[in-house]
Amino acid sequence: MNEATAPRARTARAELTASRAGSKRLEKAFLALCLVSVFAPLALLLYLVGETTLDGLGRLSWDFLTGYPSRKAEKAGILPALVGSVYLITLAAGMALPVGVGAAIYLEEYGGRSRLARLIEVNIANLAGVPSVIYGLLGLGVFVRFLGLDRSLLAGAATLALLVLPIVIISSREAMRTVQDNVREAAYGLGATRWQVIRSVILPQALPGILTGAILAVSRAMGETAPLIVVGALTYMTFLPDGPMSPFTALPIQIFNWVSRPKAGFDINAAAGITVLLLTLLAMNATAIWIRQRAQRRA
Amino acid sequence: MIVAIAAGQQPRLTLDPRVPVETMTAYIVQVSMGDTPAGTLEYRTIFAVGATLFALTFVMNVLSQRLAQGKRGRL
Repeated sequence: MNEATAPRARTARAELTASRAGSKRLEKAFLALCLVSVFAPLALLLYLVGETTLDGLGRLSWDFLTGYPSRKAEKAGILPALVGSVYLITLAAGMALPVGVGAAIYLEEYGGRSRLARLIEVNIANLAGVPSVIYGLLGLGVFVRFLGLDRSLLAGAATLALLVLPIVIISSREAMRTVQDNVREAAYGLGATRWQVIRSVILPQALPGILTGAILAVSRAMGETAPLIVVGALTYMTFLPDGPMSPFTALPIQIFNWVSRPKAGFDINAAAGITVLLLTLLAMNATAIWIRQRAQRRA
Repeated sequence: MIVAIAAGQQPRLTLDPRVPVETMTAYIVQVSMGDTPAGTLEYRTIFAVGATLFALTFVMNVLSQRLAQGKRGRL
């Protein structure tokens, strides 16, 4: 470094230090902003859940869980809705999981990069973004009217299955994509056939991811209201569904029904219903996470 | 579905964000709550509204996919 450039370098360094101090302050402000965006929604959510639980706590009892709807708010219960929801998600998961995982295996392992596979992929991504009420209309047109299932549990469950199918397919594909190529290639190198690789290498390793997708799908199905109302779920049901062809109602529909009633007391019922729905969802998610962790340990 | 409760159920054409309005989803749900036999005007209308809603979301989905692909191409 000669005489002429030395002062210039010194000023440059001083400027850099100054701007670094400025950018550090900027980064701190940015970090604070990010933290606010994390905690503001969380606090709001916590407040809502807490408020709802407190409101509904007075109505939560064994009688509420095992009672039938009533015109008197303090006598009403949620048994038909609870049973209906359990039936619905069991049937829907039974339909959506095998089909969804099968479709994912085809697209990921057999489909390759063909035009057909590309087309299916684009369509699935689109379907994942379609509003749920449109699935309800599809169910009304296809299952209820065309296939003649009428306003039955089966029609509702089939609609929910269609609704969650894209979620199952996309998450299962993601899970299979995380299986490393060298594991795959090692299996092929040992002379395993494609079927053997899928069955004993890829599926076991992808299982935790596939199960995570299944949890998300079932939780989504459990909370949906709009498609079920469009398909024709009952809003006032005083008996239990007795088979797949029976009329039905579900927890979110019962809650919606209570929320839209002006009479006092029903809002408390709605709060209690929401608490039951939340607890059921939490219990289901906890079970699924437990199953997933067991699968992860074995894999 | 949530918006059916939060945004109100009063169809009106306004740019004022403080008054109740009605969404397409809320309309379909509201009509479906009553008895809508196949072939009636109401029955056809909810399918027309549904088709419009689908067309709108379809355009947005295609746009988002274009954006995602463009990003991936440049990286």
